[in-house]
Amino acid sequence: MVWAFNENLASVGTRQPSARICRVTHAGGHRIGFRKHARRLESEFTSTRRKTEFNPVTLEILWNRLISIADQSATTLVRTSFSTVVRESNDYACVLMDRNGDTLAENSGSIPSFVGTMSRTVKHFLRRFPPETWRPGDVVITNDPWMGTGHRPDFSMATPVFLDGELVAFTGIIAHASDVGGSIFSADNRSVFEEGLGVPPMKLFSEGTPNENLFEMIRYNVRVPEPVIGDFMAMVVGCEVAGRQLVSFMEEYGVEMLETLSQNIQSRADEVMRRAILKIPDGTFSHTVFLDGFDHPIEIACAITIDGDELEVDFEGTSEQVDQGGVNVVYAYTWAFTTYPLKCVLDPLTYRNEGSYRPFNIKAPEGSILNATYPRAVSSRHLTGHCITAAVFGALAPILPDTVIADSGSTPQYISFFSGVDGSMRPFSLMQFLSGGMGASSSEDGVHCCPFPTNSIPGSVEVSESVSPLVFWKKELLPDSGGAGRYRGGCGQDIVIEVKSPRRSELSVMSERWDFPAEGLSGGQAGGRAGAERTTTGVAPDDAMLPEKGRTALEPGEVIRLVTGGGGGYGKPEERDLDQVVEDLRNGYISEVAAREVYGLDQRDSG
Amino acid sequence: MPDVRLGVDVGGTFTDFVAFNPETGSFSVGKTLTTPHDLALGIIQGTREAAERSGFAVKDISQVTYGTTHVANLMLERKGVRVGLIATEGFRDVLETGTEQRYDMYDLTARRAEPLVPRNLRRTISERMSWDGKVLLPLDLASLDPILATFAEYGVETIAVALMHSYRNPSHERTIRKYLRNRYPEYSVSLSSEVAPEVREYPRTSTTVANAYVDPPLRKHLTEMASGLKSLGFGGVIYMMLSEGGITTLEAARSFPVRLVESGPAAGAMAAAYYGEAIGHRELLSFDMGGTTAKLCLINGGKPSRTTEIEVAREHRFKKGSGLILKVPAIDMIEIGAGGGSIAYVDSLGLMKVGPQSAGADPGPACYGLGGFEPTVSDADLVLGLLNPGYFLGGQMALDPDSASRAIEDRLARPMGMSVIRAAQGIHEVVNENMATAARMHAAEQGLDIRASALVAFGGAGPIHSYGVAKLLGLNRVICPLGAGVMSSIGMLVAPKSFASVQSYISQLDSVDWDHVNGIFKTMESAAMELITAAGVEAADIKIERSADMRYVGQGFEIVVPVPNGELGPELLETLEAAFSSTYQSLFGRILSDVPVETITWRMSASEPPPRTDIRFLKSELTTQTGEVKGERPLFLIEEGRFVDCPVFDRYGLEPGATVDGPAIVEERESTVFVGPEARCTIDERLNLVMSLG
Repeated sequence: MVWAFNENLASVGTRQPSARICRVTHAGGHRIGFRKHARRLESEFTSTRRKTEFNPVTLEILWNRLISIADQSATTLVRTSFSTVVRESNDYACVLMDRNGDTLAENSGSIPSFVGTMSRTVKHFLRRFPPETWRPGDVVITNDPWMGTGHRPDFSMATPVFLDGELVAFTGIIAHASDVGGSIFSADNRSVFEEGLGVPPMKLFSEGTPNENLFEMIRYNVRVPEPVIGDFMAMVVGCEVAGRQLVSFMEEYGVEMLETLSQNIQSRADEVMRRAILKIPDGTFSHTVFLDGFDHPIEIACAITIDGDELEVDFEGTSEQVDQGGVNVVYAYTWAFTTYPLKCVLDPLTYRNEGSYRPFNIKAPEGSILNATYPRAVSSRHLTGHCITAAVFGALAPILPDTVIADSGSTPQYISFFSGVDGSMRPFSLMQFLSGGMGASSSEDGVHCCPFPTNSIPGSVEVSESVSPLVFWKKELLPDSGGAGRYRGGCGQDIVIEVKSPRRSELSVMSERWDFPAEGLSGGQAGGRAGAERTTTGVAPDDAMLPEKGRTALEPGEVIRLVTGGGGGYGKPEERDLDQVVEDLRNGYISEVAAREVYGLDQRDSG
Repeated sequence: MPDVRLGVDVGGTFTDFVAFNPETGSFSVGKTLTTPHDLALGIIQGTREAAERSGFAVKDISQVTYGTTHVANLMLERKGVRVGLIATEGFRDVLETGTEQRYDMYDLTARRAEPLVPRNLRRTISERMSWDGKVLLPLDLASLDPILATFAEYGVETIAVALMHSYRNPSHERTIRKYLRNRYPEYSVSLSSEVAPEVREYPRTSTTVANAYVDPPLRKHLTEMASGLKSLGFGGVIYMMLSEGGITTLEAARSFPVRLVESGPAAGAMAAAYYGEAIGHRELLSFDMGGTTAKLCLINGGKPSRTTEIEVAREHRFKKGSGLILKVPAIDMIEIGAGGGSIAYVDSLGLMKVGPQSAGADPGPACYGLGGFEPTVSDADLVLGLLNPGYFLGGQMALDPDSASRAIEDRLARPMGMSVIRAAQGIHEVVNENMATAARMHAAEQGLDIRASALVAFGGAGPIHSYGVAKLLGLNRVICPLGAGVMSSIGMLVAPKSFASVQSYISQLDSVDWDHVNGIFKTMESAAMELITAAGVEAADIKIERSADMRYVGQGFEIVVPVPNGELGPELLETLEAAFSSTYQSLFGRILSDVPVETITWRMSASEPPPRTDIRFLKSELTTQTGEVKGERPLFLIEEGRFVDCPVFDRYGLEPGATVDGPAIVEERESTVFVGPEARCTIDERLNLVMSLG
């Protein structure tokens, strides 16, 4: 293993401030200068009574620089990480924080799962390691679901940033590890103890020296250690890159500038969100989403109260946490997947920053499935958590009918995980993220086969076949799975896989929406149901259905069929434009039967 | 008999011509309006004019090198022909579902680019190959007839065939083509195993369909152009510029039209590399800023960086993921929505943004006086004194400073509560910042440190922003070649004859079937040699470069690793492992032990040595007296926060050896160089303006 941080890598593409180049004083109060000019600069932005009086050009330029620091950190991480979940599914976040752990900026392009979690995690770190104990070169890490992101495969890491010997900021990265030991790739666990190795806040490095005990412990607990450790190093280098650039930024503009800048942006974003909330009518709007759950159905009850420029979401009435099945959700994840759909419909354009969420108050009763307590199993929290988006859209539909979309068949993410040996008796494992169809809106059909609210993708079938003994006989849109409506939901998929392993293989299915498909809106029909079953096989199973959430053994040569859900439709099917019905029929998105019986093609033709 | 070489670059608005006589070194440039409805017409007229103007006959032209935006435009404007796609049963929707990924996390209405073939024309056939090329299910040829009946019914003009794992075993695709040739000779056929023989079904299918989509119209256009030039008396050879930065024969280009998609911009980067090399700079950042976009390309060791995949025709013009993926060898460029016409506005947070929306050419920036009222980058540059209202395009178009000021005042200055000058300064700075940030990110993605690079600035708006961008990136040298407006045409004269090929073959490195790999290289290399020698290059002069896409087993992405020439065998295992490790180390700063390495795709590029073209503008281009100062005008200097009277030089009056100290302006017909206060320029013997900062 190579421990040294690569200096060149860390300084890649950065601008080294040179006195000659940076000694620039901008006119008209718009000044960019060296630290020796910091006093002048400070007087510029503190002279006005409110600190929000930055000028729009300076703000734009400096804010972009800050984001680009987080983005370069992300680029470094993505380039060097092994986990395909990081690389292809953007399952990571890079965050710049102030000395208190409050967020300054985060990278663009990440999935919503990590919104707001890094800051909370660093505050836990600060409780364990008080500010005066941090030293340059320290790296602290945890995968505690309650301090972090809600399940153990996600590791949150932070490094301190020092300027003139003083702790001034933190850089942090969250990334999904390729393995964490235990039976993590399944939804049927009974407690968090089955879900892999737990790492409380601990130093991975102390003043640049690796904590060999911790490394040894992690290596011992995971199936293939190299990629896992490799990903940790990618995270460390990503944090270092951000730290160095943050130091350059502060050398140029000062620490005060950094914090004021972020506060300024956040208060502007806060105002924009409040203006958006003000535009919608006051009142309380409720919606309940029903899910299959692990062994009994669960309800997500969501009441949204709009009061002036504030918005409260209350999940009172939501089902209790469950004793078996990792479908419990910790509060941080509930928060992330409640704020995400709100931002999509209220203020999608503002660049992601925490100010946007200040007008929200999100309540989930402790002990409910959306605020699960230790040590409940939580590894498949997405199966419940993703569906919060459907509850939020459903509640807002009466007041924002043209902005929300109908429930999506791709919500929650359908995951299948195959493991066993290939034809040469070499072990293989393959994780497949399967997409359903997106919900329709009041003006457009839903997108076929598209992840929502996450953005994880399966990669190429050809590549999957080259690294496993699987043969995909079919991966195609499933006709009639898009919920009928004036605007049709996106179609789900029909996937048929043969397992050509010489030995018995294991399949873990993590899915939802078998009994309660994605609902339509305003008279639109529900999308098609998801499923998993054995098909033509020489072994004649007793029960053709595979478990919706759980593990099952597959005999050599067995063929299985996985079906993802379709998106809900919007508006009544009989209002759909006839040309579009004909077009859908010609393209095979709908069958003749559906065209006739659901859309009434014949009657409307003759009429 | 003179041996004149002509470079022709057909762009959206203008068609550029550069005529070069290697014997006399004479060199001349021209521009005509592009004739979108009959591109060949404009080329033929322009060629005649170029000849007349420069005093040679069309029959004296020995070589025409042609680059065009035609292919890209056909895809962007969806003006190709109706394609029928034949795919493997069970995989009808590969083209439509694409990567499945959303390209905008917060926009619920974001939609994928519409596939080039609608679902009813995507038909499947019973057959299946395994990943290692074995037949899992035989081909059912009989089912082709009903498919062809459907195609006929819907007026399909050309057919694409993209079957699973055909890169590994193309026999089913070939059998289909043979059958179609016999039974349905009216259709041209594009096979995925020939257009893009690489693993990953979506990019391969997408590339094959795109190839089919542009094939008939491009064929027609090239035939018309060739016969038009012939009728003028042209008896030389026509070469086509490829996206990868090389040129090839008309015949070869016709076989894979999709590979012409980025020919114009690629030629610009080749020209930048050429000029840098001539000055002794091999580390460069090519910076081409035009009316709507800026294109950046990193040039490392004298070579523009290459990529194996590009995205075109983006639904949301600059959003990655919203376009069509093409697997073609290409020069790696980033395109930013930042050009002279980019519109500045105040966003929801009250911050000033610039681009990517553009005022285009019509109505264009407010200062064009054609009805545009949105403030643009050019408007800001005019208000700051950087542009000369009376010498835009050499004086062909008068600019109106009042309209520019008014647009900035109405849309920006008043809403933001600042002066017009301050707002204009803001536009200039924000657009520079955007380009610098993009360059930094691009360098970081490739693991390159660009701080020692020189910036090569061209395009209508490049030289005016080069000083600001170089400063932000900490670069201390800027090269502004003469002829900023025709760099792509110049690139066509300096690009080598070359051809690249690829073939996927997935295997762990320690169990590679070397006979198979040797066969792959032999096939690719003999085809490329044949092409290049047919263009008059001696076989001995052709240089072959091999590489392989490799990765650690279990990783989802590959890196490109150099592979030795000649016969390969197991004895090279260590060499290849070492090559992989050192490439991996240099990219990512570390390597892993105990993780096996696998190879995914084998690549080959054959090229003649760079042509020894010695392009230099002659002193005869200088039309005014040495060092003549055209005058003085007030420039707003950001560093000083006020207008300062600065000298204005005529580029055509600056002889080799002349120096210009900033702050100053140097004007040429199609662009303006802003020499900042911390810069000093010298004119070199090729009449390049070389600026040193700091």
